[in-house]
Amino acid sequence: MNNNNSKKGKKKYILILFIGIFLLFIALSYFNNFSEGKKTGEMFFTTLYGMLKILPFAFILIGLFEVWVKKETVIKHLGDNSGVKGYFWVLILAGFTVGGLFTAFPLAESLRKKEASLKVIFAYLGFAGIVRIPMTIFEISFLGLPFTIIRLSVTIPLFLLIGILIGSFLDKKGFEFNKG
Amino acid sequence: MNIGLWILTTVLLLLSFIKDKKKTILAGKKAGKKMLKMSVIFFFVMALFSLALAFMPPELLNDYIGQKSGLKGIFIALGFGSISVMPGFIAFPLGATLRAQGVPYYIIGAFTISLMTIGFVTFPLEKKFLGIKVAVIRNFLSLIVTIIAAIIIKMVFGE
Repeated sequence: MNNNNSKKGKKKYILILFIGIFLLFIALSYFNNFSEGKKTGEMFFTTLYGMLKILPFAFILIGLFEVWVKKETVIKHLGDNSGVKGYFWVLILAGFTVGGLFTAFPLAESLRKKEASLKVIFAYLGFAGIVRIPMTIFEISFLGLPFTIIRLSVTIPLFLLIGILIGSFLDKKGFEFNKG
Repeated sequence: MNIGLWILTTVLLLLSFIKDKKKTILAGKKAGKKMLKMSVIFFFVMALFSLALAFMPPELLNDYIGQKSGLKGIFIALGFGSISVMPGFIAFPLGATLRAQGVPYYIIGAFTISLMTIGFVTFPLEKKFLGIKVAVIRNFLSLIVTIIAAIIIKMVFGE
């Protein structure tokens, strides 16, 4: 653990060093009228300015979301995961997924232990990629609401379909999760 | 677009504050911590990205992922999205920057959706849980969903 931390720290210093050299390069480019360098600087600072208008707000929204909405309340509802309700609740549950597939698979496995159907579980695995709320907040902030609405209305039905297809196929085959 | 975000955040923040001061402060702390944690890698990626965009001839970007790149562009974006792993706070600002350079939404969509759904890097993990066959099928179907979604985005935005 300790070793891992110091490795991380080293990496961070290398990155900071790189950023320092980068800023120096931009400053020198302006002094020497080096056009590609100036263009780089322009690009960097316009992007940065754009980000500063968005990022703090997006992060506050994510913070509020984490404080006010609890995953446990959603999991409670998964007891009655028969029928359409199950799909609805895993869609909501997927919204809470942090860390992508790294947390989605262990959760899927534990849902299986609670006897959720394979169809519902594979729908969850699909949803976990596409409806994560923090990610979606960033998406809306940077690419706009219309983009997100189109993306969600295309991908949610398709991944629901995929979940049902894979799930029912595997049900027939008597599939079980490998021990992770 | 930004104004909507500002208003929404301010209103929710006020509501939260009225309802529970402690929770709201905790939310603010969480937000600050997350921002601090991502700042170094964020600056790094942005620096790298602006270097790449400034030194790359514009025709190159146009040819491969520009307005007229079509299916070729979708596959290039999809390839990058499948093999990379990056958090949303990097991927979407990158998307917005590309957008400002004239890259169409459907290309950005192909990149971000494949990033979300197809995992070369996470494949070993997926294989461990699902077995190799199911993992391959799942990723292949995700690839098809990405292509369909990109084409629909292209149609809706009239690109």
